[in-house]
Amino acid sequence: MNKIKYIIILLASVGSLVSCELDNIDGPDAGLYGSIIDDVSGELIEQDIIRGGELELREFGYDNVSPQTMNYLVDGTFRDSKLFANTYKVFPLKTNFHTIDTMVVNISGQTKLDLVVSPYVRIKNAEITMTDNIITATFSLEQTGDGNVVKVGLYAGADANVGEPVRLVKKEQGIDAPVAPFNPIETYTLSINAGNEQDLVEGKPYFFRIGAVYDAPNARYNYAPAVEFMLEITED
Amino acid sequence: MKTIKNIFFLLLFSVIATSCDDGLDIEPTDKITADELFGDPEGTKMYLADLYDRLPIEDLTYFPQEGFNLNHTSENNGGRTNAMMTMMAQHSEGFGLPDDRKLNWWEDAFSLIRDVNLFIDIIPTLTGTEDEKNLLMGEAAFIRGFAYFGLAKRYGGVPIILEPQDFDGDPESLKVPRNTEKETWDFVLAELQVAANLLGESNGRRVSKWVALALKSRAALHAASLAKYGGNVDFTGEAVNLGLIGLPENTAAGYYQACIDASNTIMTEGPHSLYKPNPGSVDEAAENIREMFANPNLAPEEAMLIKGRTIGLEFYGNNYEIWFNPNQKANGWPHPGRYCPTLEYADMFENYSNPGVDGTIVTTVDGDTENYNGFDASREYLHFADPTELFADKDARLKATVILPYSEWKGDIMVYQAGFIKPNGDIKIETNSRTEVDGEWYFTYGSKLAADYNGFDPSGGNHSKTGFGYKKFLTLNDVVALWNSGTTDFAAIRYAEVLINYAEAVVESGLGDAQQAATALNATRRRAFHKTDIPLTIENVLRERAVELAFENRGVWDLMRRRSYHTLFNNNGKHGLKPVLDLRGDPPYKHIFLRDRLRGNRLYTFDINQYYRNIPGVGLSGLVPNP
Repeated sequence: MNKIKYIIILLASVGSLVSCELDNIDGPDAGLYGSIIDDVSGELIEQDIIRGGELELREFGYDNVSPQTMNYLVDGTFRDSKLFANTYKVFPLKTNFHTIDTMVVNISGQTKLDLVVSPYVRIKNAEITMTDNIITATFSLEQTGDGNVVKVGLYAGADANVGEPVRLVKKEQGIDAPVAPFNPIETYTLSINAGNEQDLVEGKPYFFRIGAVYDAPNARYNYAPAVEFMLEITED
Repeated sequence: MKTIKNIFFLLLFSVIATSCDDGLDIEPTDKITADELFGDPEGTKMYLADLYDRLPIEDLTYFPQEGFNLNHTSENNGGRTNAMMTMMAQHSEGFGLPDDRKLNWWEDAFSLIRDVNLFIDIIPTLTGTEDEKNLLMGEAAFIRGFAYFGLAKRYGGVPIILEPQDFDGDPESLKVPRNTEKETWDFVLAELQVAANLLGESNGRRVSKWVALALKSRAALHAASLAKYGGNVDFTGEAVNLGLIGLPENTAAGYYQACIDASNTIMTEGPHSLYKPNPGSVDEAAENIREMFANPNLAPEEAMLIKGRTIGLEFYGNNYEIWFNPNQKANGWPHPGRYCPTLEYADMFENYSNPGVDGTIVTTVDGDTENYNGFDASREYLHFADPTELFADKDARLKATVILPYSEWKGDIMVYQAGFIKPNGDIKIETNSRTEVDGEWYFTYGSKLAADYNGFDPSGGNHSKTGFGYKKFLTLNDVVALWNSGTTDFAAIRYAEVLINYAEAVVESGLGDAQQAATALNATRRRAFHKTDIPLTIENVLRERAVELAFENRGVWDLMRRRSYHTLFNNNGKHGLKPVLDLRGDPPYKHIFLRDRLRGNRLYTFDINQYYRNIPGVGLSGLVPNP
């Protein structure tokens, strides 16, 4: 009986005296979230999630700090909910909008930061239709800078993250000239014939997105929202 | 009395405890001092030989992910080479594009530079004549220039350190900031010129002035391309602002001129020439070229600097024979057939009857070579009783560097088959199957046993994914199924490269002698039995360069310096040529060929940040990082 008592006391003391903490440093409990908003229309500016724009964060208080980067979601929002609370310099890199100044943001708790910016190119009157497995996109362009629009494209992919970097099939057209308002408004047409494309399988759904890229250093694509189609099964 | 005894013992004890034992002054018995080493000329040679061994020569033991001189213990890196990161080849188990783990060379570089700097300081104190010491200075300058070339092409501007650093207790004094990229390239070229001025015409297997000039030609061309094409890629950041990466476009002309001058000196004054420049037939040309790569010692007139492998052993041999021989010739080694030259590579080679353009391989009657959609029953395919007929008109260097399907290698026919078409029209490609026709069995990959064919079977990664086998640098000997048993030497610099450097520099800059450049461009073609010359254009120069210098670990750097890597690889995959046995109709059955994507069809996109490698340890050294 005594032995059992001692064993119980031993176990109890071992259990209570062992530290259950991993270390003595707190985890990240702050975050940054927000949207990229068109300064004229007030709508979200769509992005690429892979090889798209990035938000660079440099934390204060460290020499030679290595920058962190955050990606955007395809719909133009971003969120990183695990940052250390501190003051940061925030700067968007590889943008599809005109560059803005570096912002100094004090991140504590979940902090909201909306970027109200001017996109390089706006895609207007976008319409994507499908007949007989041929997907046709018509649209016109508007630019905000005074340089050239390099090219436009119609991109097909297996999910809603489709874009120029993430695509199965692309159909592009080079422009290399300024568009409206410097040139008269033009309607562009791009089409993909899914029957000719080995990567687009009949009977499966695919997403199609119109993109345009402007001639600026490290510029990324501007997009219109993606449209989903289910390819019809044709009889051979 | 007791007090005296205590004092006595206290004094005795203190004397014993503080006895003058010079324990810290004992000399180590397993190291020799610099005086002992350099007092003996053989010791100097040994030191120099070690420096040579550490040169960044991308030879047959260099692998981009593991680094240089990879031939000790069992080096199971799967044989992933530079060329497999380009369009020209693929690894049978896959290998991606440059990323942060690949192509690095930092700490070893500065370790080599420090040791060269130590050597340069010691040379004046050695015993020997002025001439001998000048030769050593020349070799040391070559080594230092080569080391900085290796650094510059990877990292851009790096700290140029000309004296071995002494540590006097203050770590801050050891931190040296990066020089600009322009200063770094200028230093490389100046150092190689110093070497060329001091070195003699020949020096056994060590560097001569021609080797220094050849390396200068290579480095100058690299810098010139960076200057000319750097604008194709936008880099931003502190490294750009300080000039640590990026060369101003107006410096291109100077670098092209440096390349032209260095190459021209070798071409007009040097003793080098091409090996067997006038072959008598296509087959003779192919065999000449093949044997030159299998043993560069046959061609001292062309191979300017040869890195040798004397014995097949740990730390001495290489592993090309075991990794890259086709499966049928594995001779007991369990992991052959890794190197798969692609259809893009084979397409490039000119046809003798139509020189000056890529000889893209046509496999269908309609001639459409852009259709990679696999077998299409509605298209009419060309049938071949002898599959090697498809390549009959191709440049000799194709069969000198690649094992073509159904060609002979080491005494046997090499079977590459992707599938068959049954008599009823059903097609079985790249899926294990067999069929019986008139009492004979036919198998998907050409034979019943995996050991009897070389292509397309995915199991074990031992079979080619592309339909081509690898031949360049392989010997005709049977494979020795042991690690590090290959003893093939490697020509680090060849005369052919000097000619092509000259041609590229002339056509890109408009400087130099265009006529001489056109002759230089066509010299390597004539060595491959071409009888008509092609004009000096950039496309022709680039094709000739890719064809002549293939698989010598150069292609990656050509893509890097011309900034064409990111336009070449933007969601692209590589392609292969699939031979298929057509069992319809009457025997003897013929083969058709499909231009098709590789199994798995992995797509690659080049990240432009990979044009410059990341500098390690910037947190400690305070160097400005690369983008």
